Amino acid sequence: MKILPPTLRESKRYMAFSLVAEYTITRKDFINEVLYSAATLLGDVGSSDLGLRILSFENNKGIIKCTADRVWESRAVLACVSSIRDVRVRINILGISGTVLAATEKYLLTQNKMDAEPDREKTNKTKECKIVLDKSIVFGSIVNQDCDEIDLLPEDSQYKEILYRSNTKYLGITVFDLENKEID
Amino acid sequence: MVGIIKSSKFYDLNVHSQPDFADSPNRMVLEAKKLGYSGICLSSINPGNVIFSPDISTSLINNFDVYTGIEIKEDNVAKMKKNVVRLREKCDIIIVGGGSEEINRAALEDGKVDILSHSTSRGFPLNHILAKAAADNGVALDFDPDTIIMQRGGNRIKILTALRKNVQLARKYDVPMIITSNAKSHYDLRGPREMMALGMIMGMSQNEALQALSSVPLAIIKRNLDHNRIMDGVEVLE
Repeated sequence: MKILPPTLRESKRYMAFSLVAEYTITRKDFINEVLYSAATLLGDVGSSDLGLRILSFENNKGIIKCTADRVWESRAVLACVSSIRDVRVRINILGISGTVLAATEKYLLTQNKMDAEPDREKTNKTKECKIVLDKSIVFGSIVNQDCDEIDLLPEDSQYKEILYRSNTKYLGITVFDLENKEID
Repeated sequence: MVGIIKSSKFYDLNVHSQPDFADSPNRMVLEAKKLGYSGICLSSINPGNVIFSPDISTSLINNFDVYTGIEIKEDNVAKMKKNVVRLREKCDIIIVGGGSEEINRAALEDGKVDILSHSTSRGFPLNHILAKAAADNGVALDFDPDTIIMQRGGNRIKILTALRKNVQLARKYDVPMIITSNAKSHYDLRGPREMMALGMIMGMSQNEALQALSSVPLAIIKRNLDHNRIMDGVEVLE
């Protein structure tokens, strides 16, 4: 079949995004959740207008295509994703471009360079540490570490309630909160 | 329009942190800074209405403003008013978590309150009288996208309908509109442009959504940090 001439093609935008998640998310689950979010927010008619397509998704980063005049709606669809299969996630839109190349060079490659260091740190085994929460000391183990950001799993079960209230699995802290600095 | 968005400063005036919720103040500041905000308000929310003043690491707060606030959640109007008077001088921002008609009305008719949030949490919009009162007293109406993000189906439809009605009322009576994330963990935070997009889902125009995240919060902060101001229309000049 002949492809459409350029004048008849609709103009599109490419959104570079990154995914912040508690565990690793598979590509299939991610795509399903985004399409489900579009279907619940805008309905089948509305989401057919967006022309959403996930072009690439690896290492929690990727590119999504949408039509040029529906960029705001597409943003709202991505913002409405709060959890994938009971794992809390957040989609950050890094930027929008007119071509895949520009989106990759401007937003994805620069990010990769910055994250090259912490990625190696992520594979480290869990470490014990302590922080101060509401004047009492909390002991726990570090689950994820990404630059200054740390996810902490508290040992004491009394903090289950606070985690339930926040609807997360870990306490989110930073390296500035750690009590015994010599551990890093 | 793109240039205007790029050059504006964004503020999120209702973010919760430890000890009420799971994430530490430092983490929230770090994440908000990464997302592109210029300042956030860490608001305590607890049954005793105690203000918790966070100590933020100094390396995080250059070029970033952190304000302390409180979200008062009471079912009794008299108790709510008492708390507003007690806490007014102790923090930067006072937010009242509404819902019932009595609390909504009492908050919007009180000039000491800065923001009324969760006004539609029971699925009912405000009315023209409350909208007029809000405009007269300068109480900002909060459109929090919390329910839109977290829920699906019936309840979300009900609340979204109420929010859209509120936008209409606020536009007609010139009520200051504000969008706050009401984040309970860093997974609830959204970037400024995503918040604008969610505001536009609620029926705001692009310009209104932009102002709800930049100029309206800034005006509230400026008004509260100005020590010469005593109340609406009364200022110390010398």
